[in-house]
Amino acid sequence: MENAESSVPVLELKNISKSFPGVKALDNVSLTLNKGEVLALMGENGAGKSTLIKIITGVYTPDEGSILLNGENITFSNPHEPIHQGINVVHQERNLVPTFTVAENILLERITKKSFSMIDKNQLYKDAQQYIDMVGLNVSPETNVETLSAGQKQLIEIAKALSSNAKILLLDEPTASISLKEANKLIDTVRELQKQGVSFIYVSHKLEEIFQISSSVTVLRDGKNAGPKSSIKELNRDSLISMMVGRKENKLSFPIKEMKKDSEIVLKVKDLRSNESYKKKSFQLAKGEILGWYGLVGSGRTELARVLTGIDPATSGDIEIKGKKVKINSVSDALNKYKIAYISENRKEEGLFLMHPIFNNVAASIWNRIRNRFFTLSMNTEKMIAEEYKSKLEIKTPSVLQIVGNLSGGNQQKVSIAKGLSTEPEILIFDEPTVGIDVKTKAEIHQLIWDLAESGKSVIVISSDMPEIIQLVDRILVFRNEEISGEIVNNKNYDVMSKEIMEKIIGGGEQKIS
Amino acid sequence: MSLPEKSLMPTEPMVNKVSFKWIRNSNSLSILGIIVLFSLGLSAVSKDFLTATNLFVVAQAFSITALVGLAQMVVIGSGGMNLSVGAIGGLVGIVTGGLMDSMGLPIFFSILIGVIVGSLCGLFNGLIIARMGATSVSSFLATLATSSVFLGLNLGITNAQPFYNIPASYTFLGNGKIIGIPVIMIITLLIAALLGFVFKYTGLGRQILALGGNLKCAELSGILVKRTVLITHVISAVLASVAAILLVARLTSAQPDIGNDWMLFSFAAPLIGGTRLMGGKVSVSGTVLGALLLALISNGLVHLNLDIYWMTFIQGMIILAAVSIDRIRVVREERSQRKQRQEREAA
Repeated sequence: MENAESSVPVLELKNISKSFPGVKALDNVSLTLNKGEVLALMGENGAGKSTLIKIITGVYTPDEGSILLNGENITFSNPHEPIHQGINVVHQERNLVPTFTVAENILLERITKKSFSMIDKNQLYKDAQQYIDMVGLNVSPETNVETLSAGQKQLIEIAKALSSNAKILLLDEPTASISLKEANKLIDTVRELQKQGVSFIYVSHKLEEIFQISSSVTVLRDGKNAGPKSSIKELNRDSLISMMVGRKENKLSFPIKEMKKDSEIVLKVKDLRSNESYKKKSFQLAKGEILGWYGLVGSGRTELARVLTGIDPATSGDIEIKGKKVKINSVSDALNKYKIAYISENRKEEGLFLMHPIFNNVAASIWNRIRNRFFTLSMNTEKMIAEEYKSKLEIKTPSVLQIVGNLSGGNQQKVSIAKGLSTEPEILIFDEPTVGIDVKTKAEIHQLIWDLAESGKSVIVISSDMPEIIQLVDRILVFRNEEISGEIVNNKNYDVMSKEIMEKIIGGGEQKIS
Repeated sequence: MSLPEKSLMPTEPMVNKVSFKWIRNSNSLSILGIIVLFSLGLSAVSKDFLTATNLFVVAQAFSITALVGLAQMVVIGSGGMNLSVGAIGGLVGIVTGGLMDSMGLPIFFSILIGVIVGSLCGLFNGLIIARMGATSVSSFLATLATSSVFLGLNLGITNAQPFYNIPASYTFLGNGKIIGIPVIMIITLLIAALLGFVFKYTGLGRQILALGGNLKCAELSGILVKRTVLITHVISAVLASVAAILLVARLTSAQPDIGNDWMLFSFAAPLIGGTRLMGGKVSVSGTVLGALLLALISNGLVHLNLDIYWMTFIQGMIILAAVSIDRIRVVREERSQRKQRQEREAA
């Protein structure tokens, strides 16, 4: 690719500025993408990445600055024009028709273009196969998209983009919701396409991935370039993070906590099974402990949590809480009787009432507790409780009357956590508590989890984020193929721990992790 | 209602500053404005409009419409719908009227049994819907089927014959006045106030709206979804029952076809009043005012000497308008949410 560097960049953004009422989202931002390059675009949430992507893909027009495509000035006035120019974006949210086949999805534009012409299925499958091969997938074009895994869908999206002759691909957090194995597959595909001259802008929060895949990095901070475009070789983890946050990263890791041998076991699970969590699982949780559940997506962690929180019934096995055998029949049971709260990984779909105000969300689980003897509740009580959590969790909002849908992702997550805390639980299960959340809020949430454990609560943190697990928890359970494949006492030494975890994940060695 | 959503609207003007601002900012106040304008117009066109007799007729029509609208509003708020409001009303009207006419039961017990029958209908609806997963589609299908079941029961029992022998003290509920105010309207407004209280000050009201706001989240928050669905449908059925009981009193006869024409305006009144079609947000005062507007419009058509056959057409158009208003409102909310988020994230 060295020779490509010298030629005209395929895409160049010069001094782009974009303002929205009250804020300057982008201020004099420049970006250069060479042919066959994987350019990592990084920055905290709110640094302006999304706005920049929307400008490249024609959703927004910049207030100032110019876009050069192969050295020629160009303006996009709608999202279709960039696609015709070979610029395609693969979003975090899937853009596929779930009930259609792989081939129909890849060639969706072709089959929907003409309303009254016959579709030659065989030709369709044949043509689609070519793109399926390009992304290195091993599925039949006749497969229904619904039956594919998240990672496979992601690759189908790339195939779809390629079918429209894409030369520049923007991947927006492509590995956020797919398993490690699939992420590696995706990275291989990107490398393969790179060789064929496709250029990538790669947006991701995962540093490991960035170092693995990209050749250079552009970092945005507060709507500006945080520095000139740099080659990945000149950077390391620390320097990249400090570029993003603009201050020296304070060592986020929490101290090692010596768990006393005699500390009370609050939760003891033995040979537990449910219809969704079909392999027997046993573990225990002590008072004041933070237990990490690490594993690949789909390794059975959420399924186990769903049994403990009363969503799915247990089919066999025992749950003991503070030494007493219990049967958790419903979410209400878990929350009110056994003091187990679950904070969903999916705050928008499961965690929050987006159209309702903050105070209403925070109190949703305790309406039955805060009503008075006439069975009525006062909005003031709700507001008071919400105010309390607003200041405790530093939820940034002018008022607890604010509609939750209007908040930023990080603050939404805090409201979701407040909703769980309002039930005053003894055991908290955080499912991917910091997914898609900016670095600062992430640190705040880690501190909060730490403080909860310090105050005697027991916490389970489900996370696919290795640094998070290693920095935060006392003990790690590694999940693999629906089983608990190992238990590690965390000594918070990243190098040692990450290797140990990886060994447990790789297990028998049927999965290769590069 | 209730939740202070109105005051939370962004103060910044949206795009399209002038056109249809009243629709986009539609709230109880603007409906009230339309009602006043409409009434002024009608009284200018027809001198019969502002007479005590006519206003009494409007009040009667308004009361039934409001109760039926509230019956629908409760279920819409929970994220569902109740297509059987009319069928429940028909059955309850016949039961109550029949008990008084052919069995000679006292008024109180006839009404009581009527309401019990209605509640059982609601319970039946709720049980099926809770079983089917409490989704919007399940409530559509379930109540579509049960509306035929209830109507069939009604017609089977009566052979489509009405009951005429209704005691005069009973008809007082529909046609009487207390200090010049129609009894039927007093009852309606009291019930509306009670319902407003439920949505504003009780956990039950919150739970119903939580279901409509986000069913999955409601479940994960420990809200007993099935129980709430049951209660919602019982409330809806009781409201429809009261509407039917009052309508029998007003008509001084129990007609088997009571409720046949309820479904359309049961949706129109809450939607005009700001209740969100997809659930999660209701407005009791809005629904009551929406019902008043509907009653005035149909009364106005009489005064304008419009052919009665056009009423059906106009009702349909009103529903379409109400649905559009709902849609405009949602789109607008989403837009302002997006904008606020963007600003916050960029900030």
